[in-house]
This record gives sequence, C-alpha cells and structure tokens, in this order.
Amino acid sequence: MFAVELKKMLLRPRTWVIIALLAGLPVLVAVLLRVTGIGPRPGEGPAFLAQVLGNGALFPAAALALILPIFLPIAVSVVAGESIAGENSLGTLRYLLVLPVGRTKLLIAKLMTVTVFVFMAVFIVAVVAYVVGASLFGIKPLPGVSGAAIAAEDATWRTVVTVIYVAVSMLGVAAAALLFSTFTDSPLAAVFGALAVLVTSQVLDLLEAGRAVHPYLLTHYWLAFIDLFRFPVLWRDVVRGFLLQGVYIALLLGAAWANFTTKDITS
Amino acid sequence: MTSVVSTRALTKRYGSVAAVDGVDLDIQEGDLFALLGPNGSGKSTTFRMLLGLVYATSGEIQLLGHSMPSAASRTLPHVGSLIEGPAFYPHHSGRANLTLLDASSGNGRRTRRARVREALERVRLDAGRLPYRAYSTGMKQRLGLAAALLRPRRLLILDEPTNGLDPSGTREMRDLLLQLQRSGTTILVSSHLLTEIELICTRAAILSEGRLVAQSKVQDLLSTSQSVIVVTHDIADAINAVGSIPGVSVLEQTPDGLVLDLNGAEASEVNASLVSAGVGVREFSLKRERLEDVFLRLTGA
Amino acid sequence: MVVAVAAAAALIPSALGLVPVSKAAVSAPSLLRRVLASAGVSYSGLAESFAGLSLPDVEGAGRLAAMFGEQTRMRVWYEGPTLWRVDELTPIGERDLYRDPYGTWYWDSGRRHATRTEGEGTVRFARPADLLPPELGRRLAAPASPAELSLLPTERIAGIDAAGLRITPAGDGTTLDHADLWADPASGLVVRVAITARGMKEPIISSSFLDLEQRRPASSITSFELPEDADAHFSEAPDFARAVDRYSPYVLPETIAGATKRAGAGAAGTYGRRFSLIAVLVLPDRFFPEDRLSALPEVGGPWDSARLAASPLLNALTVVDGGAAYVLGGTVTPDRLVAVASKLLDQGVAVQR
Ligand SMILES: Nc1ncnc2c1ncn2[C@@H]1O[C@H](COP(=O)(O)OP(=O)(O)OP(=O)(O)O)[C@@H](O)[C@H]1O
Ligand SMILES: [Mg+2]
Repeated sequence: MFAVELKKMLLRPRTWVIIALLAGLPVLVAVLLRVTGIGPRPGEGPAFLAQVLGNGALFPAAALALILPIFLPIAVSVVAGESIAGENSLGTLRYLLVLPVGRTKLLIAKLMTVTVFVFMAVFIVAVVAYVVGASLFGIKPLPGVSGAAIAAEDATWRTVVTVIYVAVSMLGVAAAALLFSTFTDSPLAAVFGALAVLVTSQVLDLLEAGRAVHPYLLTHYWLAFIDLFRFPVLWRDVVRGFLLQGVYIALLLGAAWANFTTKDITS
Repeated sequence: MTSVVSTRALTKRYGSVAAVDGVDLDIQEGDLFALLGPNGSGKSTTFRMLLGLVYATSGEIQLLGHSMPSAASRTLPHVGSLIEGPAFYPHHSGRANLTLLDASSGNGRRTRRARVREALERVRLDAGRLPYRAYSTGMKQRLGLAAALLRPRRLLILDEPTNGLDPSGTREMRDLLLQLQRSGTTILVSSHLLTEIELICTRAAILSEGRLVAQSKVQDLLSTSQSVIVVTHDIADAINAVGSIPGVSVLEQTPDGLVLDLNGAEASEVNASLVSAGVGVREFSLKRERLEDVFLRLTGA
Repeated sequence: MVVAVAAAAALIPSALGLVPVSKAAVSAPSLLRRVLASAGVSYSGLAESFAGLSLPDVEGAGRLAAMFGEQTRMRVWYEGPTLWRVDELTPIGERDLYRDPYGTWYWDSGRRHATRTEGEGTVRFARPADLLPPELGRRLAAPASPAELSLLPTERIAGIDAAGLRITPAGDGTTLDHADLWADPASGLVVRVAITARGMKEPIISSSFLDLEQRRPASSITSFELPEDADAHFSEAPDFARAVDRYSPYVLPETIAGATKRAGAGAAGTYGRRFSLIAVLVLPDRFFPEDRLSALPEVGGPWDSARLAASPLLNALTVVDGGAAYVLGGTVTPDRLVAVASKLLDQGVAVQR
C-alpha cells in the first residue's frame, strides 16, 4: 500500500512543482544577494544569511532557515491536508476502502508518504542550496556560530542532523493536516486547519504573556537547529524539539485514527 | 442454495431521519437481484453499509457468510462494486488508474498487465493514453465497471451501472450482466431503468422511504397483477354479466371494451359468465402489468 | 484535543520533577558562608534570567535596557574567577564573553566581530554574565547579616536539591524587599536567584539554571580562538570611572550624606553600604545629553533642573546645576536619591586643574 501511495505522490506533477518552488525561493535570494551584493544587516534577518555573501557553505542552512517558518509548513500542509480529503472529494477513497485497504493501513501509508515528501523536499532544498551557494559565493570552511570554523567532517554531520531536524519539525504540522484531512471532504479546509494551528502557535510563541505555554508549542523549537552550529553543540532544545514533535505526532495521529476508522464514507 | 447477502433489521439513521429502516434482504447465490426504489429511498445507503463504507446504526449484515463490517478484509476481495458512479484520478489514463487500483489491492504483480487488459476488453473500453478527466460519461461508467471486474468476483454490487450509457451501451451492459450471472457471479444491482431490470433480473426488492415494501421473484411481483382486458361491442351487457360475480369491478371503460379488476375471482369464471350471458367477446386477455406499474403502486408514487 | 495535547505535554516536565526532594540539613548562616566561598567552584551549564526592570527607554542605552527588560539565555563554562566563558544566546546567533587572567574576548556572531580587552576596569557597566545565579547570588549574599536570613524549602533545580535562603534587608532606604537564593548545600553554588522589589509581589529579577554540571570545563571550550573570517579589534580596559574623569574636571567628596565612597576616581564613584548603593558621576553639562531625557518627569529641588528615571528596583536622578551635570543611580528609593543629591550640591564638588 505504501509503495502505491508513494508512486502516486511521485507521479503527481504537483509534488515536483511544490519542491521546485521550495528550492526556487533560496535560489532567488542567492541570485539577488550575488547581484546586488547587499546582505541583511549583521545579526538581523534570517539566520546565517548575513554571512552567506562571504561563504556559500552556509547557504544550505540559510536556505532551510528561509523556508522553515512559512513556506515549508505551507507546502507540507498542502500535501498532508490533501491526502485523505483529496481522495474523499474525488470519490476514490470509497473504491480504495472496498478493495479492501484497511483504514488504519491507509492512514499510515498516507503519513509515511507525507514523511517521504518532507524529507525529499528538505534534502533537495539543501542540495540545491549547496550547489547554488558553492557556485555563487564559493566554499570556505563552515564558520561556527561560536566563532571557530567547523571542521569538514563535523560540518557534514551537523548539516545532516539539521536536514533531519527540519524535516522532523514538519511532521507535527503534517499530522495536524492529516487529522483535519480526516474531518472534511475539502482538501482546502484541511490545509486551512493546519495553517490555523501553525499561525496560532507562532503568534503565541511571540507573546511574552504566553511564556508558560511556549515549551509546548508546535513551532517553539523549530529554529533550534541553529544550536547545532554552536560550539559545543547545544543539544537541549534540539532534543526537546524532537520529543515534542513525537508527542504531537502521536496525539494528532491517534485522533486522526480514531476519527477516520469510525467515520461514514458518504462521498 | 447459499445466502450471499443477508441483512437483519438493517437500519441507518442520519440524525432523526432513517435513511434505511429495518431492512431484511436475502440474496441467494446465482441471483441477479435488483434493489429498486425512488430517489432517496435508501438504495445507495444500503450498498454502502454492505461494503463497510457506512456503519449501520443497528441490525446485522452477513456478506458471503461473514459478518460485516468486521470481516471486510476477508469478504471484500470477492466483491466487486460500483457505488454511485465511478471515481478515478483525473490526471491518469484509465489503464494507469486500473494498474494503481490493482497494485493497491495487493494482487500479483506479474499478471497485473494482463488483468488490466482483460478488464478493459470486457467493458469494451479502449481510450489509449487519454486521461480520465477527458472521458465521456459512458466511458467513465465502463471504466468503473472494469475496476469492479479486475478480478474474479463472487458478488457484484452495482449502483446504477447503466447511468449515462447510450442505448447500445445499455444493451451491452445487459448482456454482460447475464453473461456474468451465467458464469456463477451473484449480482446485486440498482437501477431506475425498470424495463431493463424486468428483462434480466431474477429477483427484486423495492425500497420506499427506507423500508422494504416487496422482495420476491420478478415473475411473482408481476403475477400479482389482477386485471383482464375484454374487447367487445356489447359493453352494457358485459357490465351486467360481470356485475353478478362477487368482487369483480370495472376498472376502466373504453370505446371498444373494458378493463376489469378480478379482485380474487378466477379469470375463467368471468369468461364463462360473459359467454353464457351471450356477450360477443372478440378478445379476452389477462392484462400484463409492467414492473413500472408494480413499482408505482407499491411506492405510492 | 488541544487540552489533551497540553495535558500530555505538561506531564513530561512534571514527571521529571517528581523525583523526591530531600530536606536541607544546613543552617542559614552556614549556607550563606558556603555561598560566599563558592567563587572557586567550577561549573558549566545553561541559565535563563528574566528581568522586568522596565528601565525607561533612553536613547543610546538600548543594550542595557534590553538586558534588564527581557529574558536572557546564557551558556556558561566557569573554571574560576579569571577563567570562564559566557555565551548570551539569541535566536539566530550569540554574543560571547571569554575571560582569561589578562582580559576578555568579546565575540559577536552576527557581525563576526571579536574585541580583545586587556585588564578589567574597577567600575564597569553591567553585563549579562552578572545575571548568572552564582554571580548574582554572591553579590546579594555579601552584605547580608545573620539576622536578615531565613531558610526556604529545598527545591529541585537543574538536577540539584537546592537549599533555599531568603535575605530580607533590614530597612536602610533600599528598594530591595527580599532576595531568594537556592544553592547546592554541598558546594555553595547558587543555582537560582529571585529578587523582589519593595511593594511588589512577583520577583522583578529571576535567574535560574536549566542544566548544570559542577565540573572543570575543558580548556578548548573556555579559550577563544580568533576565527579567520572575523574582524578583530583591540581596546583598553573600559574603566568607566577613569573615562568620565578624562572629560570631567570635578572631584567627588569622600562622603555624601553619611555614605562613604566605595570605589571610583575623581568624578565618578559608588557610595553607600550593604543593599543601598548609589553610583554618582559629575560632568560639565556640555557633555551631558539632557535633550535625550525630555521624556522623563522633572523633580523640583535646589537646582536648575532635575529628572527622575524610576523603576521598582533601580532609580536614577539627573541634576543640572551651575554648569555641572550630576547623575545618581542605585538600589535606593527616589526620596533617598533626592536627599543625597541635595546634600551633594550643598557640599559642592572640588574642581581640579
Ligand atoms: N450523509 C448523509 N447525511 C444525511 N442524510 C443522508 C446522507 N446520505 C444519505 N442521506 C439521506 O438518506 C436517504 C437515502 O439516500 P440514498 O442515497 O441511500 O438514496 P438512493 O435510494 O440511493 O437514492 P437515488 O436513487 O437518488 O440514488 C436520503 O433521504 C438522503 O437524503
Ligand atoms: Mg443512489
């Protein structure tokens, strides 16, 4: 089942359009930086971007930081929100279920497919950003946030963990979109639901008054991947970020399962 | 004979509305069974419950000897279905759609191509690489049927399979269903084309507002017909002659005869009294009721 | 749903906190002694401080106001008083201060800018590292007398069963109502501080470790290596008092209104004792940017003009009179500041050269 879902996702032109757009934004930013030579003021703007002009090796991390807050979660919401609701609105859901494909199995296959999409998208963006960064700005040893340059083999694993961390950070949003996707026949409504969760979380995270709930917000630890570029690495928030996503995934998926397996399919 | 579908007091409520209300269906192996009823009478809802898509509010369902929906994984592989029209991915061709479906159902990979080709041939669909969204209504319907026939089935559940088919398509569908029935497939079909149903179905049930109002052999449904046509010039005499037979009444009077409601009396008795009264009967025949008449009478439309 | 998420998520941290806390078996004075003797305890960890001083937003004082107006996250590796590193973490970078026996390196990751400073001035501006629990804790503990101490329940903080100590200053014009410290009873290392100003219920400054290890940090971490791509600058110790002295011909008296001078030189110094400290400086008024203070309320008195910047814990008074500008600030009430200022003008300041 997972293989078929994967194939469906990979065969859809939409999948590749989304990934192209995701990779396109950092490329556009890189070209603009290169042409104008004007970076963000040091210490301001998206993480790492200020230093990219001098060193393309930072561009993968900068590109991920660029798409992380809004663009990537929207893309993930679109793909995950569509998963069940899209089949439902097309009517193909009923024919899948009478094949029969178990509802639990279908839900898991959908989540796994979205997971693959997320990892694929993040990986492709990172690779494209590396190539673009290398060709436009040149590669020097990766400068650490704490000063000293990061050794090459160190830089590799930190970048790999960053890619994994960013991808895993998206899985909570994906699970939320999947949950809404089981509630509605309209993929758009499911996407909107997931984005509402996202925006609420980000707004609360900005409010000083919401300090007590900050550690529980879906988006709170998203930017913690920057801690991977400190020396020594600060694992605290990264570990919490992973755990929190795990909790969200378990809860949201549990709710999605409870709803989907007891729901009448009337489309 | 073994029971292929049987339901006990099957009920589905949406809020306070009972879409299906205490339905006991019984479909035997080899039946070509028609589920009839006006719009909104609960046919599609019944089918969805049989297939485990909609959960019954109460009542029981036995499908191929197993209880549904708990045994869905065991029974549904033997059931092909078309539920309220076909549905496929619009950007893929028919062939690609069937291939995806076949893969999702976990059928053997090596014979997949052959299976898909056969199913398409069976419904006479050859649209090449045309994407599904460009199909005509009839082509879509055929593809839906092809999907239901992707592998050998013991039971086919077809909700309005002739929807959108042209006359020759309707005839092909009729032949296909008969052919499938002959090869041992039990078929449960719903349709508003009552003439078609009358031509091919062995048994039928009629739903009205969620309730079962009839369920029997099609002949039996029709033979409850209770009227005779008398063609004569002596209309007044004829009315006198039959007036003495208890129960018999005149349903209709035309310039060249009468339609009589027998109401339990024997047709031969009526004929005899007409003859003995010296009425010049030019033609005496049982009026053949059409399924449509039965349907309209029973559903109160 | 959201409630379920919140409840489940809330269980995680509180489950970690369920580890039973043992009872402190230490007296308040001996805990105080241990805290005061803890400057040599090596440690490393992550701390978070929150200061709600809400200092008036005076132009040019941005960094300082920010430090006392928000949450600061710090990573620290401390071997001893003259060998440590404190990183002030920001969402997209960090500002690090490396201390070695000869001076400090300051590293700004955003600008990739390193500044070397030789030596350390006697009077300097506050910096984030001052808010670390051990530093702040020792500073608060130093003036306390045994009569001002009481014990607080032990709390589990950053994995340590920390003994609690409350210092309630016996009133001498200070704005400080009480300061609570929690310290490792074994080493005396302070792991949490909460300062409550007079008339307030909630702490106005709090600082606490989130993670802590009491071990010597590796020297590879505490020593600064200048990155190739960084801008490097070198500066002299920014002795604030001496800097003021350079522009100011005035000399402050040894005592003002009974408060003796503790530190400083010539035109800048700190006065007072225990919990009521006042920093005073005097400049020719042409160096004084009075126009920037126009948002502050005026205070009447025997002078040309004066303005008060008030906050619950810290108060500052600027006075312009007879060609000189006086700045007085500290952990004392506005009334006390006004009294000290009047007295100072009364006494007059000497003029050098
Ligand atoms: N999801 C639903 N929510 C509420 N009511 C529903 C729902 N689905 C069906 N119904 C109601 O149940 C009744 C039966 O509907 P059903 O679709 O089973 O009728 P049908 O016999 O298939 O009609 P048709 O011949 O028009 O296809 C209708 O009154 C319909 O309004
Ligand atoms: Mg229907």
